[in-house]
Amino acid sequence: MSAGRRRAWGGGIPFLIVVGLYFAVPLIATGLFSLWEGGSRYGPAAYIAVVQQAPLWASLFLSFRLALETILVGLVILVPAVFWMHLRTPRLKPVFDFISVLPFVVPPVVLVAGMTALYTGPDWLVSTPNYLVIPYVILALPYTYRALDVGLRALDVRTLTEAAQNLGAGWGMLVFRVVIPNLTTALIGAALLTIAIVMGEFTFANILLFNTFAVYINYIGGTAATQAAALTLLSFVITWLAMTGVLLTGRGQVQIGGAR
Amino acid sequence: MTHLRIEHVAKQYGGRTVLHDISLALPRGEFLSLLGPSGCGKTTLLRIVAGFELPDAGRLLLEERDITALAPRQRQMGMVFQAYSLFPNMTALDNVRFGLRVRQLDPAEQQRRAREMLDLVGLGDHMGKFPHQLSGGQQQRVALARALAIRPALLLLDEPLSALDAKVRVQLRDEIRRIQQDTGVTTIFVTHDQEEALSVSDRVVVMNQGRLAQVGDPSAIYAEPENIFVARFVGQAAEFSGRVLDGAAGIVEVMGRPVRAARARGLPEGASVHFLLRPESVRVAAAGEDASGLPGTVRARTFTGAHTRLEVGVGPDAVVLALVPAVEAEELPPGAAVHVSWAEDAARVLPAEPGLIGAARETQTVEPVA
Amino acid sequence: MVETGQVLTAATARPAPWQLSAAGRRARAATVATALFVGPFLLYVTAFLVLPALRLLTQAFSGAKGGVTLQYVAELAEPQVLHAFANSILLSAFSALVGLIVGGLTAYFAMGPNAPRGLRSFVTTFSAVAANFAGVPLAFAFIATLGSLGMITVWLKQWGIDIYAAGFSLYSLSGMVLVYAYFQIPLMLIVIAPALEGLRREWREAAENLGASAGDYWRHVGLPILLPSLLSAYILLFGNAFSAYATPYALTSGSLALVPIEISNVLSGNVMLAPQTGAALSIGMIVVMVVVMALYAVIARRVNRWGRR
Repeated sequence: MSAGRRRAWGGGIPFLIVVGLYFAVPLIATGLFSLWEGGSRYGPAAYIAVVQQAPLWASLFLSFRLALETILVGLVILVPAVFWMHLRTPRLKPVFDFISVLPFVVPPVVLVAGMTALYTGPDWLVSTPNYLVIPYVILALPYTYRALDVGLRALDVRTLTEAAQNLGAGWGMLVFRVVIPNLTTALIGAALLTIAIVMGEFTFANILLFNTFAVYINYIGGTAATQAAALTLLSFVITWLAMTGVLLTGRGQVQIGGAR
Repeated sequence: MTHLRIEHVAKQYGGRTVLHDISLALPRGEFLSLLGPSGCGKTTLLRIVAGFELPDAGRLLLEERDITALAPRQRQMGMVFQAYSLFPNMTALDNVRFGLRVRQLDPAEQQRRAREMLDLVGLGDHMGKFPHQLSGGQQQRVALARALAIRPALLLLDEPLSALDAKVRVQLRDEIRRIQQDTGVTTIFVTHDQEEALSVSDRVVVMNQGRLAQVGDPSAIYAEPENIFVARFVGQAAEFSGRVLDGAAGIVEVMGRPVRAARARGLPEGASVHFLLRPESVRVAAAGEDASGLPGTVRARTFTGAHTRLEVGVGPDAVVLALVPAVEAEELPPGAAVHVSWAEDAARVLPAEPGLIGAARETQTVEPVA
Repeated sequence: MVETGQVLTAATARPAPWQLSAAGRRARAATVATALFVGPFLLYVTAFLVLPALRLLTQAFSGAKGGVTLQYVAELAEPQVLHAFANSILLSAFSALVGLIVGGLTAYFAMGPNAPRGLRSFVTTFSAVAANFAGVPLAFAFIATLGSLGMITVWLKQWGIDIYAAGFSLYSLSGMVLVYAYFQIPLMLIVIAPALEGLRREWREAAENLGASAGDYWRHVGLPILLPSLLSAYILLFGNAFSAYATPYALTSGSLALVPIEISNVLSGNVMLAPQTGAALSIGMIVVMVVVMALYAVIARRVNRWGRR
């Protein structure tokens, strides 16, 4: 007799195969298309052409730089706030939770409309891509907040603070030697998610006419489709790396980004 | 008539044998406990009886019908799990009704029987409550009512009290026993708590590492352990290694001194034995009285209410625990030189043959009188 | 200090800061510290989220020459605006439904307690990636697959099947549902996985023990327990699709009438519409999203009711 009677897991294999095909085929098609060189020739011409284009690298670096700036600004604003909320004013938690879902109520396309209506200067900021960092921080807010919140909750900041102060630690030592080192996992998770969001962000960049990575892909799509396909796959790989990083650091917490 | 027969059941999980050759026979209406430490296989055996696991070898016979391959839903058994088994989206009443609903009983009859069962477990007033509104003890009672509502051939309880508070546990186990006797349903009760098993069962099966260590009624399990595992697992005992000095007169050498042990009679001279003393059978008196026991010094004295626990050191690493009436203990403070003695047949003597620890009994069938 | 405070209190209405007791000073210092730590965050959110939204609100009601008017809000009832809203709502509703059903079944088969571990972790990772893949790359991937010159389209033509002649178009509403499913299904997987794990094994076993078949179990126990989670997942999927901009834009270059696209058309000056119209559209979108999030919050709270213990 077979060992154990657990409900035999054979169920749904045909269904899963169909679903798997649905997800795999577009990727395969993109891959094949990116290797097409006209007629029936296949080769890496598209990839070579893509890599040689300075505007591509410029857009890629721009997006990446914006991502880093977003992480910086976001953490500088959020870490003290969430830290303080956990430590001293837990009554503010409902307020924080509410604020963290506000960005969903105001979709990106609406936010850009509002911001352009409200802010027209100063010119040195608004006309540079760095202006994008401001709404990007808002876009990443729900995910950054949640990562920090979960990380701090797992840390039980109050007990740690009391223990540290009991042993004679001052505020500086507490924050930099105790809290932040223990938050590294949460911080990395938040950073990776922000990178995924910013790298894929299209709405703001397109409407405000900045040349970020996603905008560039869209532009290339109109002129050199195979190169766009190559970039699409590249984008997929970047996202995969970022998400694997998030999963590894987040103990399985998975969330969705903002590029839709 | 034998109600349930377990024949030579064995089970393996990935190379590890969880149950070796288990055979048991239960008469109708018996309350049988499976007692043992974690990992001894008692829950696995229960789940095989319930049908959630298939044995690798052996058979199950219910009223002489082979049910080994039958799906759980066809076995007409009621099971109470350790926790979380009530359906959270249904009231207590609907939970109890579930089995009847599935059998498509007449709705009025479903209602009547469900209420009857809830009254039986004392929760008639809580019919409309949801599980999250009930305490742990109340939830388990509902689970019991639900299992009994289908008039099962067998009631299976998988450590139903382990997740509850101590006080609730004692209350509930007595109630379970009372209900079982009222309804007369054959019951298998799995637990790791020996006090629980001893207090409610008709028979106790002590299990160890997938084998039956001993099968018998509670007093036999407690007073007459057949091997060292049972002796250690059930109740407390001071344990010594000894050697038979005189098999005819029953004298054993323990801690270098000859002591009386009626149970050593019949054992060959020179045989190595385990020598066990239960705390309640140990008498402690000030040194200087008779010399048939062991001399020692009181190491610690703990007042526990009705009795006082004395820890008497009788050797460099050897301690005997004794329970004496508080009055007597007043005369025996820590440091006092004392003398430990016992009634002649109070000491247990078990042969210390290698391989006997937790040894399996081939078949343990107590065929009831038809 | 205290005596001075008491004396002066008799004469003045309130003690000045330097006259507060130690506890009072502590409390004030705490408030200052809170303002220092939490203030920047609140200011930032107010300045760059709340105020822009409020600005849109006022703009939607401002006349071309100043003053309050309902003219632009009334334009929301224009046929092309209603058409855009209808499209958005239909697209969101259907893609959410596809995500719910396909995602739910996939979660059951691939992430249930009996599924092999490797499959589970692969599906989890892939869901995270696919949910983030949305936007321009996704649009291109589908154009390469099912566009008029896409791989599958061409391949089917070789078999004599011309899907575009038969009426299919990737750029129509049904084509969009197909594309949206690519990020809706993974989102469903992510959201429903914890709820599935919450289905305790004991419930299934207890049901079987009491005589229930698999169908009985799902009908009486499994689905009722999952229902709130399924509802809240649907609502989340709806909101997710409704606010999507990049995917439809890259796919249709702004030619399909959807609310986000219309708003961006106003912003980029592609259409001869006043900015107030864009503001009115934005407010309309916010209203829809508020309703969505509120429903989600209400139902999600009910889920916790049974989760205790």
